[in-house]
Amino acid sequence: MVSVVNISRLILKDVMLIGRFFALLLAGEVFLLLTLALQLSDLHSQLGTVSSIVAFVGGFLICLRSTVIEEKNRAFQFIKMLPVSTLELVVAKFAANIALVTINFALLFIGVALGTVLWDVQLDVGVAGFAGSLAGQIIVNAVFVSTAMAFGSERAIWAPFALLFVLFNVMMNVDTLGLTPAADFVPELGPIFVVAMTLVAAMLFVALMVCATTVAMTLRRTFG
Amino acid sequence: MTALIGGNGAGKSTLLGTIMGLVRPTAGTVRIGDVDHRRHEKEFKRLVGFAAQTPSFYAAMRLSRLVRFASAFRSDWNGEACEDLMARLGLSATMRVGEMSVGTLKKVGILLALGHTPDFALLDEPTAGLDPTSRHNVLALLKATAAAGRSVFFSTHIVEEAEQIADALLVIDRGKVVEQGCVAEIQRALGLGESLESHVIKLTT
Repeated sequence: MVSVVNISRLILKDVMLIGRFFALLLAGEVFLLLTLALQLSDLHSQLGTVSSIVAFVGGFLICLRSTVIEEKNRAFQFIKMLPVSTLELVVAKFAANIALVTINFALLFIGVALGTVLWDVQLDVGVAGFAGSLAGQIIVNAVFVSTAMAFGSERAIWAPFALLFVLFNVMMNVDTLGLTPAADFVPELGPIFVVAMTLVAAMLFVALMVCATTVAMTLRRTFG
Repeated sequence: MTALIGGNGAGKSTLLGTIMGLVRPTAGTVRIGDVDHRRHEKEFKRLVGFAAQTPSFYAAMRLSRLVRFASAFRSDWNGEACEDLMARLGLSATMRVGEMSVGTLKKVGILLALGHTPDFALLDEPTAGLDPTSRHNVLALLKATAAAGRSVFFSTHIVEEAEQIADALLVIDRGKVVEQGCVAEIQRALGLGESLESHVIKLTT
């Protein structure tokens, strides 16, 4: 049986172990956005997009860090000694990752929203756009975390980069690939529906990756 | 108390790792009574305390936090026993894991393995890399654990250690059991003409 208490403890451990890194990263992201915004006034109207890109890179670093702390310390071996199931271990790792990435995205988004009020410009990314970026980040990180855990090495985290490359290419070539009708269809559904569906789709994907990772870790020949 | 003896690469760590689920068995199951490791993983781990040959923990944690973290998963964690173990092993709660020597890490592994007073203690070469005093303390601790009615299963290269504290002996070579039985009985069978150590050497070469 899955214990929510065990999962919470493991999440707390992750948050505590990368808390300092997270604070530094956030400070760095804010500093980067501020310096860009103060020097390039043309950028004020595109701060939403820029902050999404910054948060995306930051989110990837969070993901990398959270897997590195386990592998560098060979700590899964220690966790496997405790009365914790593999499923709890995997769920906790994914949940901690999603929580930290969401906080990172939300804080940057709120900061930028306040900035646009200050500079009196329209924010170029709405809640739907924000949710879309966040969902994208969650999906990409899920692939990374899954790969690193399944293969037992943080170095495996670099393997799915090919997928990221394909994803970016698809996004940049929506017209060429004939996906424009689908992209046009999305705004007609209304922002709340789009936000909900995007996040549900991301969570379904994460659930799939959690199952696949748990099976892969169970079938692994050796640990630690 | 059973000592597992074998040469380098005989399969001692693999056997202990298999019991703890760190190595997936190619066949068979691991059970303690009715508790099957694969089917009741958490229940199994509640019964067992394991100290790895090269223990690994979170480098950024202090020992106090590490103990708090590990104990939170074990409802049967014995705070008093843990304090006593820390004193006997010469461990300080303020030590940071990343700054610990290999020997100290080993002692932390033993502390976490025995801190919840498990029914079964599995220890992979618990005295390897320890100074003579620590080695003496660890052997005394294992003796006390067994005297308290708990099962202790430890691997070692040192036959003398097994003779000193173990009741039973399990000798393996290239993954196969080549000798098993009560230490006193094996010694009696060997007589005065052959030491246990030379007997083990014969079996494993």
